Amino acid sequence: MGLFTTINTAASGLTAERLRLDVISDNIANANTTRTAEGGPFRRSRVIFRPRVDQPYWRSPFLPESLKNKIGSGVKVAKIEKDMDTDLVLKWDPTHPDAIKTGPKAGYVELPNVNVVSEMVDMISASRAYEANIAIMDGSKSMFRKALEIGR
Amino acid sequence: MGIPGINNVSGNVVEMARTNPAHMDENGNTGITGGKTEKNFGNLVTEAMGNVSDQQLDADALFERMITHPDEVEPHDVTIAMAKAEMSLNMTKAIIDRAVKAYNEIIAMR
Repeated sequence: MGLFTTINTAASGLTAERLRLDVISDNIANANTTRTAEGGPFRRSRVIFRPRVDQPYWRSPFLPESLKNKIGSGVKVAKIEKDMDTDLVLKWDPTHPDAIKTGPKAGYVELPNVNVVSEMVDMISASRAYEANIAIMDGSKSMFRKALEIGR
Repeated sequence: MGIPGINNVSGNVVEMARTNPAHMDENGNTGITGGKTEKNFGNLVTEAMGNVSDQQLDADALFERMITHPDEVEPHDVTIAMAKAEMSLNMTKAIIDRAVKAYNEIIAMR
């Protein structure tokens, strides 16, 4: 535990939330994209976080207490993955150039599985999480300020 | 070629690192110098000021980079660097204040 440990941890949270907002903005920007390099419409991306731990991770039931992982040092992005679970939205539009030509879904256009409303909710959640990390940082700074006043 | 006996092993065969300064090194010396400190107060202050100055230069560089390349720098990184520099400066200032106070107390003794 050093002078800047809390600040560094909170900073990792800030960076993570910024990245989340980047991904949300990409999703919203592509909310109507019907054509991608992989083929098919755009699929929303989602960010997966994992804790950042400095020590190596040991997994054994016989681990001595001293080797067990202590407090982590913030958050890290595990990966950004495409959401393949949510269904694409079908919209009736036979004149659209990317409309399905044959089969039972003929005449429909496959639109991305981006729900703008839930993306906005995610955006608010990311902003609030960002603010929470800043509040932690302010708390750390005011503790530091109080510590300097000891014995004055 | 025979196997050397265990009793006449010599040389630094296995590279061993000494992690605790209280342990002996290969010459039998411990890192403990009997409470003697190598640094005097002036060096300490100069070094601390150097560290603080480095942190302020880092914050400055980040700030400049944010102006010239706004896409590469996160705004919170800049403000965090500035906050860290400020905290270090306050810490150093507090320590020097205490030391000078102690010096004045001693001078005022009569």
